[in-house]
Amino acid sequence: MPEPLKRDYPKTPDDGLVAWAQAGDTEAFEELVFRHRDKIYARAFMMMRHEDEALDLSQEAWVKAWQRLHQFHGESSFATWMTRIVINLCLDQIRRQKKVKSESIEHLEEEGGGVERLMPAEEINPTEGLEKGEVRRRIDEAMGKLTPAHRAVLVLHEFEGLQYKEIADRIGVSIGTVMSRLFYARRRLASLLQGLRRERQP
Amino acid sequence: MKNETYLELQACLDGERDALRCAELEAQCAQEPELGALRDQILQSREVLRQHEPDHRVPVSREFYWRQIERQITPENRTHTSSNPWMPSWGAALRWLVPIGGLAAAAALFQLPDSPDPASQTTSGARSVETTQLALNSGAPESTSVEYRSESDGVTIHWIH
Repeated sequence: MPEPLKRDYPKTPDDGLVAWAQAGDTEAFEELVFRHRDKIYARAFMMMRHEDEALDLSQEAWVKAWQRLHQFHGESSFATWMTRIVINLCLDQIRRQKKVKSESIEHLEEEGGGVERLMPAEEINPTEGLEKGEVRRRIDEAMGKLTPAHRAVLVLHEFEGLQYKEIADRIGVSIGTVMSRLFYARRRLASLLQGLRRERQP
Repeated sequence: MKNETYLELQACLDGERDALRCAELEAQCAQEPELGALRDQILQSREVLRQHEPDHRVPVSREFYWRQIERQITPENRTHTSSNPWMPSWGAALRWLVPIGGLAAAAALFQLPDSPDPASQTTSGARSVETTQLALNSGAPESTSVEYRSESDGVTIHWIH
């Protein structure tokens, strides 16, 4: 009897791996994890800014994805679907944390008008003349200084490309709150980037 | 300028307002340098973010990362999962702690009637700790133990090797 053909996981595209995984093939799923783990982890890290938390949430996202694989019908790419799962888990976690932590001063400032909101916009490009890697590093540092609520809106809008309405639905706030948080987050980020530029100027 | 104007301007730049209102705001930006600077700043920060998304990689090996997922999704392990999906890793540690803890508790009970050792007492009343090694008369002469004694708490614990 001829030996059955061995599945070539690394050379199979995502949709093929998904189909095998839906039939219970964990090796196909492992290949999907291997392909997209950095992106999923990076998204969790951007939201949470905590290595262990991001690691746990990204792994939890993969477990959830396995349990819900039958719900994936290819309306979006597998990576997009996975990103949605991990972001939802991060938002749940942020909500839980918000319940136990008191509102930050920064948040209260935002509600009251905010320092950055009233600050005049500077015309200097804070990343001008910097190498790509350095710009990334500075953005990362500045993102880490935003509150989870502001960071979440910024990530969903700028990196996930969601519209105000979609963000409002995902987070469970009004469109007005999304607009306000996005505005504040952008101004705060611009202000932090300016600050980093000044700090590092000789 | 009012906050509503700022937010409307932002909405225009994000493609969330109708063209007519956006044209009005654009004209306003040309007349008001502060509003114009704000528009440039929003555009700039948006572009910088989109083009330089920070990159983060999983800080553990592929195998380690996958094993923890695999443990949750394979049927033989799924039957043992608790309500907290990450509990098994703690469970593994607890499996070792239970016998060790039991042994330590038994040793502590055995030692509690001991009279306080004057040599280990301190005048300040602060916790004093004395660690010794001794052979037990339990039929296993090669066994040794480490003793933790706290006079202030009135507790003595033996760890048996």
